[in-house]
Amino acid sequence: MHVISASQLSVSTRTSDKQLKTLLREHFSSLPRRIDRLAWQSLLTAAPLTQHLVSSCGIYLAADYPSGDTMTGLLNSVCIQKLQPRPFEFVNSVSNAAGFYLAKQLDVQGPNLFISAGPQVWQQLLQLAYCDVQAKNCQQALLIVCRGNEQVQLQAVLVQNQHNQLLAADSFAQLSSGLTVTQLVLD
Amino acid sequence: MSCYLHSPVLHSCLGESLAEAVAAVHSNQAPHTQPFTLNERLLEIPYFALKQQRQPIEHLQRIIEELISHYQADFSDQLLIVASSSLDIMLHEQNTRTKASFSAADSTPLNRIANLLQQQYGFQTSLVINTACSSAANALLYGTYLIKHQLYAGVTILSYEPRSTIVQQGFAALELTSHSGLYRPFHPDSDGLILGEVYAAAMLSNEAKEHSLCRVLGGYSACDTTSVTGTCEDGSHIYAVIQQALNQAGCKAEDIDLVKLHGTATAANDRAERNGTLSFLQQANAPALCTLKQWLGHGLGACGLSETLLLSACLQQGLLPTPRHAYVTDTFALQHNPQWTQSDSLILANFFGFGGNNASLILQTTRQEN
Repeated sequence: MHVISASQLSVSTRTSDKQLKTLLREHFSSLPRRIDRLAWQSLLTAAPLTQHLVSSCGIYLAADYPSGDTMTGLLNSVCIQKLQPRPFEFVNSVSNAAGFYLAKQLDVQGPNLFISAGPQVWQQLLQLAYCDVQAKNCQQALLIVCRGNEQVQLQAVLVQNQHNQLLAADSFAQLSSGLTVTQLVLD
Repeated sequence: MSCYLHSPVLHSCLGESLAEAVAAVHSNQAPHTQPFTLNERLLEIPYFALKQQRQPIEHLQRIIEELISHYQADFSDQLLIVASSSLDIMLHEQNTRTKASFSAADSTPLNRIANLLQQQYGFQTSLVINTACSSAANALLYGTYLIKHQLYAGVTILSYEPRSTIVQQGFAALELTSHSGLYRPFHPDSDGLILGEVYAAAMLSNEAKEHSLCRVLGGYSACDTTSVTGTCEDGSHIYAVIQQALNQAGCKAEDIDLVKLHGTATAANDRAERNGTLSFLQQANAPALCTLKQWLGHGLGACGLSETLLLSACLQQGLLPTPRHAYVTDTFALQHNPQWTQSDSLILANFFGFGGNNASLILQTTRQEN
């Protein structure tokens, strides 16, 4: 496997969803509705990589926390106010919803996994993607890691098969070494 | 590509062991039910619950202790995969009630439980898979891949869905839950699903073990972008996933002896699954069909493992789980004959979920050694 392109995004809670959507409109003619922060951020991180994407691409998304705004809304309304959850808030609380919106917006068909971002997250994402690429379940793999709860760092790489070898890397720096990384910092 | 699934542990509404669950199916014993009250509308909604309520981490520790004491499991060369759609949700619910509020800063890392269990029991490393109702099916599929590629010597899978208020209220608010308490997948008068609390564990390895239940021959998992809450109702995505699963396992449709349907008993999903699997029924020797959620409830992210364990254990004992409520559907002929005499049966097992995640596994039963 080898890395085709890479991007990263740093975003604080001071940046509104509306600002994220404004930036996304520079990449996409239409945007999904009623999606949560994790999905907006993941889309914005993946957007610079779209020119290299083929439709046979798997999405492998990792985060260390669930989407904070969704969980806050749900827990307070259901457990404290004793209300029924709003349907879209509940559905978005399923963490792989972000992966669904990525696949839909990027128009890719392939495996779609959501995992937790533990200390070996890059190695794990590469292993899962390697399994699917070797099985010819997809030609490419889009790997995205979202770290942090308030100041959030997202990093993405697009990889494809090369010599049937698993990439031995355990950090974004290693994976993106020698590439021009698209970077966006939002404060 | 294939791996043996062995050393099963199941705690469910049918009892706190796999043997109890099989006996309950054998004797048509009703699942333990503990209804919840839907907020605002104050309706009682059926829920299949464990008899003994514990914190999720206590349950998970108990099933790992069972792996150790029953099977002398050694985890030092094992990847631990935790598969769940809920993870720490009950902890968040309890903290929210205690503090009378929740903020994003109160969130815990998604790998908190996996990391804790990895440290406590000496697993080589850990991975959390959260792909809604296909979580544990993906754990079985990717666990098999990872062993095949010799990235890990073995994989231990823990899957669970706790008795979460958010999950209960969420499914009821979406009007997907049954009010009647009759869990009847594919029935024309079905009124929805019944959620089920479940904790399950098993190990995957290259070699057959004394306690092997079945082999995972292959499978496929992909994302249908039709809708975040369900798959395309014409069944086209399900059909494509099944075909790729068969290819990956080196099988043909006519090789399949039994189809374990996902069978949520919700109208759109049942329609999609019926359309996606109809071609199986049009074969000369159509396979038998079965569903398991009427026994275990819908175990969401855990159903991939809990249903695989219950089905394999039943088949090993010559028992095919049949519908709990006798009926004839106008769409699927679910098996009403509980006898199962075939050994080394090939099974297609479907697991579909929110987020467009559709997964199908090809399993093969193994003969009971003990």
